[in-house]
Amino acid sequence: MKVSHRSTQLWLKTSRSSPKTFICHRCRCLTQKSHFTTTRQARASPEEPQKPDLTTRLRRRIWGTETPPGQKDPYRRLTPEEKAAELLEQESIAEGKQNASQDTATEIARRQSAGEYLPAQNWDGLERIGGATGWWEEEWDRNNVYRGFLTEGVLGEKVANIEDVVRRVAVEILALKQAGGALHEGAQAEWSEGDFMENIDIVKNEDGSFTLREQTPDLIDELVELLQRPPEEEMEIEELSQDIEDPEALGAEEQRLLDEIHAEEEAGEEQTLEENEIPTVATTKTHDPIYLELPLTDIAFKFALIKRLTYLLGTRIPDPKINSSKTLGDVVAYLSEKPKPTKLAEILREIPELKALPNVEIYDTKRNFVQKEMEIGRWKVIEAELKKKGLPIRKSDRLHG
Amino acid sequence: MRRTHLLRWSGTVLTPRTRPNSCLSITFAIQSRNAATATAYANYTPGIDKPVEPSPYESLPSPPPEASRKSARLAALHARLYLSSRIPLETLGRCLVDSTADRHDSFNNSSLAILGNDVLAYHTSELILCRYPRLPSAVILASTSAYIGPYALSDLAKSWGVEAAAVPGGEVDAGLLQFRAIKSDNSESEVRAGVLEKEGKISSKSWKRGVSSLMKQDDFFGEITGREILTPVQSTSIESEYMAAGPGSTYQGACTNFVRAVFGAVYVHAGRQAAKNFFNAHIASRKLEVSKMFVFRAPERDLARLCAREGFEPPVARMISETGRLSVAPVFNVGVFSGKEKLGEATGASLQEARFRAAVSALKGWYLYSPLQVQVPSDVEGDGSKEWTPVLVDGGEVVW
Repeated sequence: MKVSHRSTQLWLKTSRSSPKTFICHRCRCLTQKSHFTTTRQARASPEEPQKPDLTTRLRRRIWGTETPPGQKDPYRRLTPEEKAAELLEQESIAEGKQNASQDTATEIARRQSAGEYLPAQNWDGLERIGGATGWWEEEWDRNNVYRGFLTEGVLGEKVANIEDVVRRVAVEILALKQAGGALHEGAQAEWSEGDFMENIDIVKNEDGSFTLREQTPDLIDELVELLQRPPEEEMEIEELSQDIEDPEALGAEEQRLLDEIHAEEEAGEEQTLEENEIPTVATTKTHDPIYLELPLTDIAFKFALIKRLTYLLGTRIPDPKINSSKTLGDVVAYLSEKPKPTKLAEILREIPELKALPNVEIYDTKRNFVQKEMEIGRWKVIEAELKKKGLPIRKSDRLHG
Repeated sequence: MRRTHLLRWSGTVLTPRTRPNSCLSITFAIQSRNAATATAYANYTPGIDKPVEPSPYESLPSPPPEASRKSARLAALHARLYLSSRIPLETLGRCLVDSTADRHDSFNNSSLAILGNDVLAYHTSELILCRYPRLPSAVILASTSAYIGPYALSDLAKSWGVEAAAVPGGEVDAGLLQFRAIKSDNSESEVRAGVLEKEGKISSKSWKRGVSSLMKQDDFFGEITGREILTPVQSTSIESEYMAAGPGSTYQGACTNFVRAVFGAVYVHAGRQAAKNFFNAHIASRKLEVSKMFVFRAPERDLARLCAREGFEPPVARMISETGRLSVAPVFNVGVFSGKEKLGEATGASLQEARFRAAVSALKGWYLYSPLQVQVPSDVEGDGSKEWTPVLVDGGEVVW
């Protein structure tokens, strides 16, 4: 044990003050005035304006301003009210307002009235996520199937003439742009063919911009009105159809709505396609391919186009493809491209030289024992003999005896 | 020479293919699935766990015409034989189906085989007769058999690369030769043209079998017909238990019928000249040593009869030279002379042997006469542009 000179000092100290009581070094330190400057007491005590602490000085130097961003006290956990006030202050500083802290209350009031984003003080009125409420409807109820944005796929993944669809979507967005509304809001609007498909053209002006030209008057306005119509009516009808169980209890209006639903269903059934038929969007006119040159440099335009397309087709377009598409033609090219065949047999079947050879047979899978025996006709004999002896024919037959 | 009208005979072969349901007489005697639990796990199909779809044609006795287009084997066989494109793949597929595999005559090769056999027999016989006008009947029959008999044709089928299916059926590849096999329990020498001889004995009356009998009563090769044919002696094979009892065929018999059917198909679809070219390419190009096919019992007597008939002086055998008479290997050179002309000459270890051989040589010299330019009747068939030179008609064999 090391004998330090300190112990002698202790003794010396104690002997001076009071020879009977012994106070250890640690306790002595605690009673003395604290030398740590980061404790609360040190901060809380209002002192004369002296040099600000090291942290503040460092931050000021780093940021180069007297009022560096961030909390005044980064190590203190703020209450929600303080957090809201901080945020507001930072925003106002960023905007260059002075005396920001004084306007916080007015700012809150202003934002509430304007409907802008305001960090909440408490959880009243906020959307609740999770918990036990609604678990049956969400997880198990077959009537309450989740309908996402891409679930619908109004036209389906495979459309025969994809360039017409893309052209029509570009027409819609150009129409909205001309009308001056928000471009992406028409994404989930109704899709109707006919006049809109055929009688509106995309033309290129001398200065390189693209505009619409309608064959029939007011067609563009009709289209805009269709796109801006809110899709609420369908929801009501759906909810109503779920509740209807006892037809005798129907009122007049409900009966009318029910008839409407039945009419829609019948109309839908007539339009169902045969199994192998690829759906085609109805259009008879082939349009001038100038629309393929339409540039997608306007981000809002591109976003609206991609949103509407993915909604209609029900499939995503990968981000790299979206980023690399500079014109409408690129989008059409990506959507039109056939997927690469995954199996070797499919690739081989597309080679024309192999197709022409009659002494070559291409199979999808490797020929197994049974198939080889079937080719020479012996398998039926083997099978009959095994059955006769009561032996299992396949591995799986073992388990079932 | 007028064009022969063989093409007319082929009308029945080209009738439309209809398969009335009543003609499907072959039923598979499949036993009902045994419900007993399996106790012995024998070595069976390893690794087969995925379901294999049964072929839709399994219930048919032979593959349907549309299966011919899908078979690579069949297309390869067609190309290998350099068959004209006028001969469809479906017909070649039909040639591969024996009558024992499918009893319906519109779907097997029996009609084409009959036609093809006639085509082959015609061309072979004219070839032999025009090449060797004086050949005796037995040798003619033997050489015909050597050219187009069952052994020759089955060898030909093997050289064409025709493989046999294990068991015939509708699901089998259309390029395989299909027939219902029977075990030949006798040695190969006793199996003739699909004919099984019971217990290895010739059951016919041997005293009746002269040359005239061969020509008149028996089949084209002089083989005896009308015996017990084509029934299995002991059906121990699984196939014969599995399928309903019916006629079967040997592999050799099936190959023979196939080759005949191909010739028939060539004649029907490609014409007379194409059939002749096909014959020349595959049959006539084969080398046959006819001189080795003679068997003499008493050639000196035959030669004497021949000379008497032809008006030559009676043959006399004279020794020409000899050496080593008292040694262990004497050599006698004997010639047979008719007057001053030497008819034949040969050597032997003894005088008798040499005389025998000399007579044989003389007789062979007579029988194997061949004109310098061999012209067959089918050469001048057609528009009549070619001139027919009459072939020597022999006086006949030496008959005592």
